[in-house]
Amino acid sequence: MSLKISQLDLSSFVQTVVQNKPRLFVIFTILFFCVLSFFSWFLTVATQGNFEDIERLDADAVAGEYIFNAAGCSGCHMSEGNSDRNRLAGGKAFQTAFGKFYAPNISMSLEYGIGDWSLNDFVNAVRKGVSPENEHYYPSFPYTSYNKITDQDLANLWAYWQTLPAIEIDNKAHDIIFPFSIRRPIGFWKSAFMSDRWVADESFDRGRYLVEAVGHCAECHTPRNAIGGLKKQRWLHGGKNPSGSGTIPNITISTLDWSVEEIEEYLSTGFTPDFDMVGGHMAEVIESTEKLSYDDRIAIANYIKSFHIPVLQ
Amino acid sequence: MRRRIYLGMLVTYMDGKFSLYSALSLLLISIMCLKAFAHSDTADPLVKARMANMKVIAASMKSLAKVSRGRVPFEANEVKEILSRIEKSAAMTPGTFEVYATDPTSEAASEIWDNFEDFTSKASNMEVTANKFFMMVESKEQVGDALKALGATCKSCHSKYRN
Repeated sequence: MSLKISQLDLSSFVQTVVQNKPRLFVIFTILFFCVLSFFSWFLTVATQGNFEDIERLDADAVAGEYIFNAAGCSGCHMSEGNSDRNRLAGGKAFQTAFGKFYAPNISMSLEYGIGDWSLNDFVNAVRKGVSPENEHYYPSFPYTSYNKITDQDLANLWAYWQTLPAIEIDNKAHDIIFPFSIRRPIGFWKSAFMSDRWVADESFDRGRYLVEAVGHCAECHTPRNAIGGLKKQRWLHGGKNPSGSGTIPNITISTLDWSVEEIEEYLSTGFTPDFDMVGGHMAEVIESTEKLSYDDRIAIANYIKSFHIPVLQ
Repeated sequence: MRRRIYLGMLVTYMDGKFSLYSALSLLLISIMCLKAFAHSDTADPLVKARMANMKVIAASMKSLAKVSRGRVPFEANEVKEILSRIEKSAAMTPGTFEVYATDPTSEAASEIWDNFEDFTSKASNMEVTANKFFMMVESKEQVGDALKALGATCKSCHSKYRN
């Protein structure tokens, strides 16, 4: 029987090959999967980028401390039962649909932390989610927001980091459900869900920078799809708490009827307009936002009050 | 016999003849369903009571804020009255949580009952703070200080024990 393909009929073509040239079919199938594996390997490889130009910037540790607070590093990486926000021994557990993540030690410890890192290592971690060993970090570390932090802010932040103490406490391994425990496929995830595009337009300027990059509000307040990517069409619409209990509020103007001043007050003191007090993980966020300047809190409040359905840049 | 009656009622629904009887029973069932799904209804009386106690604190803080922001003139007796209310509610708080109770509307974290001693000490921090300001408050600026100090006690408890 001939193998002429007169019409584009893939299924009958395959059927013909299988029936008449089974060995050819097997070879082609093996070749196909080899090519697929090669491209998958290639697309998911984690490589560090070169950020040595950031090292040439003049760094200001005081400005770095401001970003440290605004980015909320302590909120996740501070050890439990400890009130010193500069002791970043990690250990806090974050329950998700993919398993339990434990925040790593990111103190200046040489053995357990990041004491032996260069600025290039730091920027790769924060902007690309890549470790010095060229492994992907899990997106429980919000590099999908942090990737928009400016060069100068990262330089300043690293300068401040040098002043932090080394805490000699070992890291807890994540307890993740197979196959999510394999890091390599995160490369695919990053291609799909990581972007350096802003959601709001440039008129939001400082507010956009604080909400979408440094403050990474969307990482909690935006619902996620089945494989953990943010549903950007539902930006800041809240949803079920991935850690199990309760819901994370919708903070878009369709639901939040607070004034700009009331939002600023909340970010400053934790008091709602009815003088209820913030609870849960948001209380930890207020520990960060209360350290921002009044103008920065107003910028965040203006963003929350003014932005409409996202127009992706 | 009863079975035949129930079957008869079912047939009345199903054959499409909207008799007054079936219309009324449909209405009753709808109301019952609506009631079951209403978010604002807290069914459990213990949960209701402890929420009401928290709301007394919130309302009192709101009144203090009006004074500290100059919207209401400072009156020592009235401010002391408000602070005394907060002190009493804070003192009552552990008691309202002592017996475990839950409800779909409850935001109380289960950690409360795992760490009841710590929970109690946080409530008494509020009580002591309210009392301290009760003794010494003389100006609207000090009312502002009271708000700040009391807010810190609220937050320290809520960050751990509220979802």
